[in-house]
Amino acid sequence: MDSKILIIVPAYNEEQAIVNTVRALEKFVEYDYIIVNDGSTDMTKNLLETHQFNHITLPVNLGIGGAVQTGYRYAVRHGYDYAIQLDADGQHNPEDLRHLVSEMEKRQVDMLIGSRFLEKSNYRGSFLRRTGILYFNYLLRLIARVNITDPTSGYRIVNRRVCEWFAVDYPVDYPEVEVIAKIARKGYKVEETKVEMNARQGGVSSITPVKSLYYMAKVTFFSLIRSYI
Amino acid sequence: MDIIQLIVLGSALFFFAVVVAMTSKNKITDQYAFMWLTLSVIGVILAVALPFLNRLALSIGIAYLPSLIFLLAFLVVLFLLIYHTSLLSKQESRLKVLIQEVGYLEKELRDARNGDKHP
Repeated sequence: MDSKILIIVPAYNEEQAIVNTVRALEKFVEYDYIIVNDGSTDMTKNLLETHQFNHITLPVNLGIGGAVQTGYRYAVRHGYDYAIQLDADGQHNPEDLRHLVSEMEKRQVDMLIGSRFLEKSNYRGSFLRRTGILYFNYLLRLIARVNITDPTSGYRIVNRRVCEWFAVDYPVDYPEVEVIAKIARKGYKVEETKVEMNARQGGVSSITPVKSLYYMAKVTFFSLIRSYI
Repeated sequence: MDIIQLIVLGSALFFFAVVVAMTSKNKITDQYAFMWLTLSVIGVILAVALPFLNRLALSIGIAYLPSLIFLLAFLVVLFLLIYHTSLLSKQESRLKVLIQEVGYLEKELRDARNGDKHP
């Protein structure tokens, strides 16, 4: 296994979880990581500097899409073969990293998504979240002809070809579902593999009911427009 | 020339003067200055041609000219809003790239100072 692999960790106000998350990542010496501190207003920046973690601090908050894209630009610039997105809040289990990489290398797909729902797992989201996930599953089946059981999962690995795309074109907010629709419709191979997810270690979820509706409407609208026109 | 025409002409000339003044002081960049100059010239021409426009409107069956002008003005304003939204979006995406680059360069600088511990 000699692929060059980068783990991209977007972080916004993650002072409670960031150190544990990176410590867990550092056990995987075969992978590099980059934390993208998205203009956090808490102690995240200080913690990253104090511990000398490999990080980029954006001078202002760009939103999740802008932060993740910074990671993809970094991956392209440094010639990584694969990039893995992993949340800073501890929800994504680093123990699944090797599984993601080996499955990616075995299946030779363009994007492999870590799914909570492919097999029975311990994850239980709220009713609203599960409804949203089901809705996006149908939407993707309809417009991109892919069956993704966990389309909002941020835990995913992509190859260099997709990295190069994302480095120049990545939605600013709520990017997860939209990018699946985009790349799947262009003929890129998107598949899933089972992962476990934990409850978040700190911080609060940024998704409120109103935001969920906006999320669903926005993704539907843009996926349709950008896929068909 | 009746009073209303004088008021319209005066307003159009004032608007034109404001645009010229702002352009000369570089308060509006060339691209937008040209657009506003064109619009203000059209305003002056319309003010001068008001009696002619009134007759034209009557001849094509428009009983009340201001309604037509309001409709046209509304469409122009709507178009300008969309145009400005597109400009704003362009600026935003340029700004995003700049912010990402600033972050990246700051990291390079920090790594160089710390003896390049990371890749």
